[in-house]
Amino acid sequence: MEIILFEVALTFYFAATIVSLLELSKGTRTTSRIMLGLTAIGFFIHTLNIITRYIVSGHIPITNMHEATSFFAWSIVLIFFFLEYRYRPGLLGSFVMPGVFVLMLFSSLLPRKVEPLSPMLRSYWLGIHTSLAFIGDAAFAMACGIGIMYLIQEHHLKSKKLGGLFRRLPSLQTLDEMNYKLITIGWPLLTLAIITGALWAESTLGSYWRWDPKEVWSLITWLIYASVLHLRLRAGWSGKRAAILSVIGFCVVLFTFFGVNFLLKGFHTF
Amino acid sequence: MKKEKGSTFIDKIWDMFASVKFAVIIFAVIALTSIVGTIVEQQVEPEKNIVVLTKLFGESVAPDIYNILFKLGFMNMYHSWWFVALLLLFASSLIICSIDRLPRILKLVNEPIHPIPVEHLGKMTIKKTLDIRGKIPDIKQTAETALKAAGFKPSEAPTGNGGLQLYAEKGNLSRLGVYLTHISILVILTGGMIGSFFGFNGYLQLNEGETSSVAYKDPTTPIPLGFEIRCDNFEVYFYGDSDMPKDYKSWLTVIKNGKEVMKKTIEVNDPLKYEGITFYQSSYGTGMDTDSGIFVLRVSSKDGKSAEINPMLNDKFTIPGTSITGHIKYFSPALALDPEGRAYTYAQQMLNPATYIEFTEAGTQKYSGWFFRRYPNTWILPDGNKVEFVNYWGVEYTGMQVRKDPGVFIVYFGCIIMALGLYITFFMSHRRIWVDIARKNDNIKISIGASANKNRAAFEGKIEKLARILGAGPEGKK
Repeated sequence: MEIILFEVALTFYFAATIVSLLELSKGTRTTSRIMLGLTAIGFFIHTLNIITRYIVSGHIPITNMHEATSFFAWSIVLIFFFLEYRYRPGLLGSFVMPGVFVLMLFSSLLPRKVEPLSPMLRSYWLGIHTSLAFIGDAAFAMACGIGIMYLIQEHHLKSKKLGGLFRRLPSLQTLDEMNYKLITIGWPLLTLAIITGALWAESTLGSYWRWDPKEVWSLITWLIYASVLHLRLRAGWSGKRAAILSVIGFCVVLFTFFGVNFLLKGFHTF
Repeated sequence: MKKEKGSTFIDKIWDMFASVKFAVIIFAVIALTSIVGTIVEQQVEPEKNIVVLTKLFGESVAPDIYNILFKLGFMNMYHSWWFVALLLLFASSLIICSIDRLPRILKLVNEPIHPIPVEHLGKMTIKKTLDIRGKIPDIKQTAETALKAAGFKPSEAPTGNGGLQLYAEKGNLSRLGVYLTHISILVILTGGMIGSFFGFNGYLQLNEGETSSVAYKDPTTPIPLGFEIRCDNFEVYFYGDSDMPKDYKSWLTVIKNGKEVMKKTIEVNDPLKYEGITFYQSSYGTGMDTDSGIFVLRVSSKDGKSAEINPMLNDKFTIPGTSITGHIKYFSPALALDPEGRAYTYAQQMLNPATYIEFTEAGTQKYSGWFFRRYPNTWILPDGNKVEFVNYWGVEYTGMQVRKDPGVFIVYFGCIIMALGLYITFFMSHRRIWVDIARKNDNIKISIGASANKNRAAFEGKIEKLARILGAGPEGKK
């Protein structure tokens, strides 16, 4: 059942991605609405998939790579709708949906078996800690997408290509504002994720901080976004510099998520 | 901050520490050096890391790189003098930055809001003007009510010609939220330091029935606990029929001055704490000699007479109320059957304990078979008597992390302050608003100017709402 829901969600995201890419070359209000509609249906079914899996396994479905990647994609779409609702930016979907689709496709290739939980993970912190971390990371993902849009838009301005795409993309000011907003969402969530992780580790492993690779990489991520915020507020690094930093920051987030699991040892590996 | 004569050098150092770029450089150095510690494994045997380094740099240079890294303290880098120094630099920069900016921030917090000339309102980040009909006192009334509803306490100043200005601010203390966040980091660092200086991190392995008065930092360094701890029993629970552990528990007793002062069953997420020392369930295992354990069997006859007995391997027992004798012949910690139905032991861990018992009555063999601890359906004998395999005690051991960390509550306190600080910093803002009401020809001109140090868009929405209320006031029809 939950596998069918996953496939259907994947299909809708795929359709939304196609429409969003068409939108880049020739977009109208209608294509944008179709894209949003497809994404919304996909999101709804994806949510059902997560709920079903929750019921089947009895815990938040986030404990293997398939589930974690799928939940990450879900969080990104959640933040995407928040931005759509709040700023109504043009063409954001074209920069987000392909990423969501790739994540879902990657997730679909991984083993989907519902595995029993190891005793260490059997705790109410599992849901709190992981959802904070994933929604925070999703905000960073979106900040990265917005950063790329900013750089494209700036390139248009510099080379004076003020054509269709330029007019349909949000203004530099809106993009910069959204970028800042997202980091002010992502960073506190990441902080809370680290704090709840520390509390959990204290109760399970007997130590709130063990310099485990995942912990260290989260700290690195935290320091990067702390720098982004401080440089913006105190040294005026907004606009292009902030955009570049949020792209770099997200690369580190991705490494913390995938790289640490695949390359480095530690407690967080699945 | 002292400014003595000729202290320009100190001033320069101060300015350097107070600059955000310096802070970011420290962030970057901490982040970059930390990466090394995630690649070379910390506090392990040299061989492991030489293998890693060989993969990265080739066989010829790996030992040299290892030696260089070792001398620089990278094999236990997060506790090395230079990493601690980096953290202290980080803390200093944080303190100095905060002190340096404090006077300006305090001024913004404490300075009361003043009425300002109407032409300045047009230069504010949020502005709005509207012309309506009506009487100044009525409009003032509406504006005051709306501002109060939005949480402001407006003051009033006359502006001449019958006009007036309402002005108000709120959330000025929210500018201090960032200080709360900064202080929380210092509190957490302090807690961490206290923990590493006055606490310890050890382990303890106890067999069922064993007592210890020490834990171990490493196999040769015992740490006295100040009391004794005994493992009364240990159990593993599995998922269904699998050998995948679901949970494991140790029944512990704390003994102080010869008296049992505390009993607790610990499991993975639920430790025992006594006199500041915490025992966390972390691992388990089975001892070498699996034949030396004591059985806990509940033997009952079909007419309901039962007894709990504790035999050992090769012992004999009688089923109560009968003349049937059981002889415990074999024990296996993990029994399985091969395709031909022959029994064999597949692991030395207590995964599927089973015992082979032979029953005789009046010298003649009646029946015999394997009793599995995990499968109650193997406990019933063909004649309706029953041998419950409750436990096999004395061969398993429990592995525990033993920690003392007097700094942990300071760290928690820091975390709470941090959460509070972040909330104030990111979700509250210092908002100021001026509403100027003046006569203009036959109409009334309302000019609104406002500012917010954060979340301006949200405040702008509120101002729009205020303007709508004023525009649709009791006599405010255009």
